[in-house]
Amino acid sequence: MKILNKALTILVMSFLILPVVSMLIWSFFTSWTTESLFPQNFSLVGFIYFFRSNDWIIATKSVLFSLMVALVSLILSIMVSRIFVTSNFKYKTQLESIFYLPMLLPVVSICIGSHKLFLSLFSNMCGAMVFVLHIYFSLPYAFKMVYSYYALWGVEQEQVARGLGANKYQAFYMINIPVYIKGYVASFIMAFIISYSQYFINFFIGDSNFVNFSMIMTPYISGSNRNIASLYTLMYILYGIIVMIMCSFIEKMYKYNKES
Amino acid sequence: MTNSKNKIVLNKFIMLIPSLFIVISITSYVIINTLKESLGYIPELFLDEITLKYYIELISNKIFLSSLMYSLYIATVSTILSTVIGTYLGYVVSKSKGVLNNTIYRFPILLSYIAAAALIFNTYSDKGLLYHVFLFMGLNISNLNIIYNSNGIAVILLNMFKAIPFIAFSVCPIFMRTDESYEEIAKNLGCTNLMYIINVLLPMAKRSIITSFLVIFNYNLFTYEGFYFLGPSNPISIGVLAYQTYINPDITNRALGMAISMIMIVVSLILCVIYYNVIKSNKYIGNEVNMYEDLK
Repeated sequence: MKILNKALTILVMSFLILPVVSMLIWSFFTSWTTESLFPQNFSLVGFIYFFRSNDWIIATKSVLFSLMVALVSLILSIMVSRIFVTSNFKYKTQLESIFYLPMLLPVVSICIGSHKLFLSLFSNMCGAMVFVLHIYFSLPYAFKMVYSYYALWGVEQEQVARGLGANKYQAFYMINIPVYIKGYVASFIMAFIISYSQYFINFFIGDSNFVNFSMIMTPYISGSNRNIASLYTLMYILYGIIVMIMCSFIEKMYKYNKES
Repeated sequence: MTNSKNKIVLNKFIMLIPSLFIVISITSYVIINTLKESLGYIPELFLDEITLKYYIELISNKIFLSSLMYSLYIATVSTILSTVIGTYLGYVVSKSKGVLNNTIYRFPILLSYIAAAALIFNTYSDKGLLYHVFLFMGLNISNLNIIYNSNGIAVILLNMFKAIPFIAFSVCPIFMRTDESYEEIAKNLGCTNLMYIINVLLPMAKRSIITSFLVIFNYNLFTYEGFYFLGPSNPISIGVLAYQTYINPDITNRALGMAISMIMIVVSLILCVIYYNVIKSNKYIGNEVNMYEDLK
């Protein structure tokens, strides 16, 4: 039984790890012929291509855009969850589930259905509509996370601070943020991941200014250029990891401030 | 007194308005517009009689039916497989103490479907990594035909690659909180290991498993990217079909595309109702907190 268990675990883990290994191999090697056991032709040509072709500008832009989306959805979800925690009203559960709706609606239908609305409303402001749709899809995840943190700890500490004479902003800045920083950072990262990995919204609604990382990757996947496709995936992950490290750095900074 | 109280209430609810506006305006516009256009009322294209003929046409359309069945098949198979394996992985990870096991499995969550599709293509295509791994072990499989064939194994693999970590990630903290005392008590009372898992652990994680099952099933059913890049060109999935019908140069096809889109929305609204009932039946939301705590 134990051996079977171990074998199963190794099988599942290798299923998850094998693609990652393939990414690492093909971003540094350009060819691997049929008969040979090891890959040949070590080269950094993919990296050079990534930086020469100015795709790194698109990638950076896409990361900045997603950071903006994540920040806005975090702020919106904080606003919403504060209300849900502090007040009781009649159709609370129903209202709460309305916010979870975008999680289950298909992206394709939303984009196709709202195409006309966006064309007629902001015909020359394509950025606004891409932005709104990104928020629409990342808000439920951010809200779910922030709300579950609020439901666990409540806002009592903040109310005590208000009672002791702090004003609204002091109470929020000095009490609320240090208490919830972990939840805020986690929800920020989740919203970032959702927005960063969107493809269809930018593809269907955005114009040439809103090409994101997933879109510049597609020609190499459908053209089966293994080297560049894996390199772009590697860069995609590196950008994501940089953002995550920065987020946890901010969190640590806050904790350090609180202790000192 | 009541006036100021009202003012406080109003002030509070002003904070709700921006997000509520975004969610409700887009959702309701999409549903109303899709319904209207699928019934054949598109004034811009000089179509202004309301008929059900597009739906009737769809029901007898072989391409639509086959793509619907194909999407259903892929979504069901991949979601059930990934739920079972993901729950198992969550259990294994919650038992193991190693840092490596605990972080590596989360890796695919970070990837987008496009990036994951590239990796799946690299690994499982002919002469990809899997072929070389087999070669290394001394097996020479001349034709490893997984990608681009009509049984859709590649799409299932892609969906599983993305969904297994997600489910393991949401189930693992719940298993972690059931510390050893639970197991000891259960075994004292005469539980075997299997009975302990079935009667104690699984019911605790039930809600988490069902909600992530629904989200993933819905996503897999209507997704566009995976099918577009790794799936066959016949039969195509329903998401790709809706998009292709919508952008068809013959502009009268637009109503047909809208009808497909409406069917997709109705199916996902039904799933929403199930999701809502699951949430309502079990109001304890603290469950999710631990799940996100160790995201970093």
